[in-house]
Amino acid sequence: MAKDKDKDKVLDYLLKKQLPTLPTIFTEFSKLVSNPFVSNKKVSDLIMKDQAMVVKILRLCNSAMYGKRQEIKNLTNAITYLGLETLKNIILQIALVRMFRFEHNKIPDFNPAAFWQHSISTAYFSNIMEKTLKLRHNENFYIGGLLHDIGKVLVYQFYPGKFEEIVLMQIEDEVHDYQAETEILGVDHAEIGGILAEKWNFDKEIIDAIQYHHSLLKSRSSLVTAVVNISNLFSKKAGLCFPWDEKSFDIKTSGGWQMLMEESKMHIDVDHTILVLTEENEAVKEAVKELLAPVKT
Amino acid sequence: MTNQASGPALQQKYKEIINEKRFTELAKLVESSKEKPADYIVRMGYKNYMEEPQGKKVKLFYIMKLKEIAGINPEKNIIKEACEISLNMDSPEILEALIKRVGFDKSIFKEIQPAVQKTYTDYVADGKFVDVSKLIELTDVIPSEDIIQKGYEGYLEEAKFISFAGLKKRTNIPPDPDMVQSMYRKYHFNYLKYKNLSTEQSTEWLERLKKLMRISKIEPQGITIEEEEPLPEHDN
Repeated sequence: MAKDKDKDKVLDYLLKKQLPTLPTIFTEFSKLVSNPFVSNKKVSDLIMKDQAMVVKILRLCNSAMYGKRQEIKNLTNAITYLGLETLKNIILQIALVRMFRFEHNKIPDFNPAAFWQHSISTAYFSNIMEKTLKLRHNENFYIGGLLHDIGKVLVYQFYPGKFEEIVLMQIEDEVHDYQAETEILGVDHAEIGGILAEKWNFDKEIIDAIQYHHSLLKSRSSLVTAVVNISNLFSKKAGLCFPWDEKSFDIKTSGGWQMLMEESKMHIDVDHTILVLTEENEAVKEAVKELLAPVKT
Repeated sequence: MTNQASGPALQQKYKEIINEKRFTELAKLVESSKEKPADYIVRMGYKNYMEEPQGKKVKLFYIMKLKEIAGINPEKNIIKEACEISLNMDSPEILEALIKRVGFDKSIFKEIQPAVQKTYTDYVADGKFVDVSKLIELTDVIPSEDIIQKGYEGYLEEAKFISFAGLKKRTNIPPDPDMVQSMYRKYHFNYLKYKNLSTEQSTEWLERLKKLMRISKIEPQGITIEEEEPLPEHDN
């Protein structure tokens, strides 16, 4: 009962007052590219208004994560090379990092790079799983992975003291983040993140992946959620996360695999998939470094 | 199909393939030949890999690959060197892979204690408490008391209570009670200093005192900590 009251208070506070809006550059870009006949020139004109964005896009485009073969030196080539969907994902990443700068870091242990490393690696691993397992293409795999923990940012920003308490409970009682959050706040980051994604008008599959990446059985659009669940665990296993989230577990036992096989109606070689993901660790680390590096324009 | 080549000609071929790191070809040749590569050729291969000016990770990859295919262990000095290289990496991931794929006795880490302790120092400084416990598990070498206590002290100086709690939980090494008492005195001194000057600063030092009590499980001596005020609905 007490927990329900806490939950109501937290959600009421977040919903009514403080939820951030989706970055304008991303909404404008999404709107523009929703027209299938949009020219690269128009896309370029929009991005060129933001020189720091251009620099970041070029840096990322030339990192190993995006399969650099030869150096891409200008935005026009980057648009052609990356394609509009990948570009949209990159713009969302950059815009989110800018939006949540954690400038007034109240917890010295909180390392923003670790948060982004986890979000981006989960997104990227989701993308690799889509390709490796030859799943039907769906941009929601990437965005679902990128946003799956966005609720943690809100907990940190609006309740830093409680964030620290949550982490201490995670460490001392050896419980999962969502268990400690429910104990302390009455609500977990998955539910909070789902609310934000709903406010930002993201697709239902993305909202589902955010809300249920820890509770697969409640999921309604299981394929994206299952992929995000596995990528999230893999990222943690690889240490691409906050140190307190890193866990020793056997990723092969995740319920996500079973759900993935049922949803995709395919047999999945789990060992091979894990091997493919392992080989990408370094590329992900490099890309996050580029993303977080300061830009001089 | 069985490879018919044998004797010196086959060994010469093994030598060539190993030196040129043609591992797929090596695996096929080992599988199809009755004669395996001679110990001295494999060991020479390990030695060459370590001496070549390539990247450190690449060297380790070659060592692991050759061991997997040839099944002959590198000599102790090579294993030691490979362990030292792995210990210098960002995380214990590579060391874990080396132990798993090359397979050697953990007692070797007792012989390279300074390198292991140096890695503990780096991990503790970076707040990588999960890696500290992983390294204990992998090497059976306990971090020195001095490294851990310096780590605790540094964390408390910087108000890194999460790192403090993490290190304590993962190593089971308690903080030095004298150091904790001295930190209590420091926090309390600052609390009193700001009490009538700045609410924000004094609250911060009071919070530190309470957090230290909670995570260290050590009672402060000679200091009275004031009653907690009710928490606001949100923190900022």
